[in-house]
Amino acid sequence: MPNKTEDWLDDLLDRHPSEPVPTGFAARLAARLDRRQANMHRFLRPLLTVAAASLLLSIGFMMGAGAGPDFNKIQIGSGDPIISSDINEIYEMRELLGSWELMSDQELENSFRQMNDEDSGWLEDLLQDSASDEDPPLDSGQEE
Amino acid sequence: MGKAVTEPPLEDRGAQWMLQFQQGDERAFNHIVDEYQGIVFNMFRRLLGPHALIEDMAQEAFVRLYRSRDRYQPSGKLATFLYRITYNLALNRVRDDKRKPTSTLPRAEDGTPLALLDPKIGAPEESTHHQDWADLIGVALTELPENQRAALVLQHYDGLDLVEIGEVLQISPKAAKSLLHRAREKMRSLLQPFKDAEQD
Repeated sequence: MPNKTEDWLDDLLDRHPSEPVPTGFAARLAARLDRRQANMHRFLRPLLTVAAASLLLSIGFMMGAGAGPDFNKIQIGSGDPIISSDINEIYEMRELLGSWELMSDQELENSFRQMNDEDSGWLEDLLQDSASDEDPPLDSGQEE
Repeated sequence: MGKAVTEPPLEDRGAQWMLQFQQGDERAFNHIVDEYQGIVFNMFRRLLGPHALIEDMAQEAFVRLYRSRDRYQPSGKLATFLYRITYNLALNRVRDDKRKPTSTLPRAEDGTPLALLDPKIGAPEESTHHQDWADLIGVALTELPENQRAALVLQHYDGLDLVEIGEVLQISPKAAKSLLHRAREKMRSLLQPFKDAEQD
């Protein structure tokens, strides 16, 4: 739809011909669109599988979160629980248990130290006695 | 300036086909291709010059139209929508070519296309060298900045008015008018020597 004006430029521009549409263009375009659709399906299937799995996981997580802190309980044995305690309580008890261990360790160490002191006493006596028997002091020998 | 701006979109045949296509009628898309393939090829040729390979780009334009099926809003003519797709694709190609030039257009050392260099030698004679004039105009068009080129092509060859040109180029009608003025001035300066040589 050329613009008709008095301008010589428009007359010149009209000499630029229309571009012919190549034969079979529509068919080639349709084939390209078909290939694109096929590729879409090929890539979409695994994507949908992953999306469905993610959705199921999310739903499972949400349902589990609404069920309360049951998963925090430890139950040993079958039937009625023998020992059942909150993990939180165990964490609270941990410090107390730790200090008890430290206390008991300290006591044990003290008793060992005491034993060592006692043991080393008689051992030192013994060593001293045997040393005095075998090796008379140099001073006394010189005197003889 | 040919087409009326205030034409309701639903009276546009292309918009109606696009709506049918949105509702799942694949044949409507075939009608669109048949109806609009000519304007897409012409626009690419005039925007990209005489040496560009344009079939792949024309296919891409229709592929993009196909992909836009779900988000298409019949707020304007389908042609305007398709012109915009075509213009954006052409613009991308021009920018790519500037980054890694593949143009086969023969140029002088200063970058001027040889075809525009010597009007005394190159001026085509009206009766025998109509194709030469076509080539010359094609080369001159590629010398315009992309937006001026598009404005001139849309106005002269496709008959769009300033408002429609503005819609395609995403600018105001006033800016479109300014682009057109500069485009025509540049084309006159490029082609005047050849016109004078022809008259001599």
